[in-house]
Amino acid sequence: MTASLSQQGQPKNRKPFPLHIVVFLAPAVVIYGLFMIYPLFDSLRLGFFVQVTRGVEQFVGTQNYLTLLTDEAILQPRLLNALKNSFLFFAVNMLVQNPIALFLAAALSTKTRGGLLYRVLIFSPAILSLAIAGFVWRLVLSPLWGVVYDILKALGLGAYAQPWLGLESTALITLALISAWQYLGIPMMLYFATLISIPNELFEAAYVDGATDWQIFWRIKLPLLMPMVGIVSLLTYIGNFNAFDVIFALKGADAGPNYASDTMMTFFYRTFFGSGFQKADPHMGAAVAGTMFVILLAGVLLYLLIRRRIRSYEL
Amino acid sequence: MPDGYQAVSYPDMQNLFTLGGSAVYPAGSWEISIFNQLVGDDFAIGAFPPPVPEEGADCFINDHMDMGMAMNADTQHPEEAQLFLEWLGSAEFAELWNNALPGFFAMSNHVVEASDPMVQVYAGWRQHCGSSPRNAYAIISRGEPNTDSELIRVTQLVMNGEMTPEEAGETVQAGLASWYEPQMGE
Repeated sequence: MTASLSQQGQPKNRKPFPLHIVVFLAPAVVIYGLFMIYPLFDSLRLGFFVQVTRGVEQFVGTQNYLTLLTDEAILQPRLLNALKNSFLFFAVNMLVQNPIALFLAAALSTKTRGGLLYRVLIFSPAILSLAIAGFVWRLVLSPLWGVVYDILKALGLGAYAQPWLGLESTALITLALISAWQYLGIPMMLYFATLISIPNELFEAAYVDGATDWQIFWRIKLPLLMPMVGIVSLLTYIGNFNAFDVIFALKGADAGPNYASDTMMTFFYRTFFGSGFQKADPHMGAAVAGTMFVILLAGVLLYLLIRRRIRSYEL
Repeated sequence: MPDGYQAVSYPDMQNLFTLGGSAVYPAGSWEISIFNQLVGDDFAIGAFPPPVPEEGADCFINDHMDMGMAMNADTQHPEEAQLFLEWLGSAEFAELWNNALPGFFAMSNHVVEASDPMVQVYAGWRQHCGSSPRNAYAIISRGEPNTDSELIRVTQLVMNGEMTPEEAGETVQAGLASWYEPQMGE
């Protein structure tokens, strides 16, 4: 109330409407709106319709979502399985890729001989096509000609050699680790960039005070890294909850064996586009996509809540 | 089956056989030209039909009807199309086709002298074995669950010993009956 009152009290010499702002914003707003916002809302809309006959849609409210959540014969078990697998895929990446990336970044941010070479080598898989990385890993892990088996046998650990990509119990974790390996360079570079931006004076002062390298890492570097840890976690969540390419490249759309590597994206792909002889059902597919959207949104909101609790330091 | 068969892919399997790493390879006649090329003169290959449950039982050969030809009812040239279709059913076409694409057979009953001995072996089974259809192509796979994918899934479970063939058959039938009208309520 007070704000509006004081505004009314101001003299009426209002500036003309800032047309140039609209002009400058227009290209981005139009392109982003046309290719991001409109498809997003249209796909959400699609989930509330069914196809009656060719080209004729009918509004059915939340029926698709209810079917998806309650069809105990097929859709509900597939959805729950895909949800579980998506979270597991994310968890493996979060718990393996993130700490290793942080460790490598911390190691490389100190003066290391050949540090640049290591950074290039660790980052290089991330620019490889996944089709190639997936093919290489399938060869490496192949029970027939895989080098892993020869190494394990040479070490006398042949009994531990398993066809990891083909077992229900290990297929998904193996795929998650391949993905974690391939994109390790990206969080590592983000951590690395943050670490080298920390002023040296802080470390020098800590040395003078008698701190060890270990203490410097835990007391100075890690607290200053926490905002980046949050961002990397969010990127890991968005990138890996949607995991598709590595699974599709190595296991196909049916995400075998017995749907053991089926994630939300492969489930969505089969439903929306159809797979093999299965007919595409864009409406049920859109309902799957809508479910994923809600889950991702919930995760992002959770991040925004947590982020406020992370203390950030001004340097 | 080889060690770690659960993670052996189709191309892996072809290579294992053609490199001499396995003695028996379950396949169809479509592999003939591939194997002729990859094996060459390294070793001789032969073929035997699917085993039967007991001696003297009827044998069946699976026919993959992947290349049916038909005439559009609204065509402007019905006579010409008919003439062409009749030629596709002739002995002349069967001989041309079966020899140009070893392992693929014209869908007519003409007995053709094939130049490839393996093709001759496969064709010979037709003389005394019945024909079984390709079981999940294509209309009965157009729903959810997709019968073709289901067959792949349950076959893997059977091969792993996690499901009996009877259970697998029941699973596929139940899946089909859940959406395919002609199979409902049976």
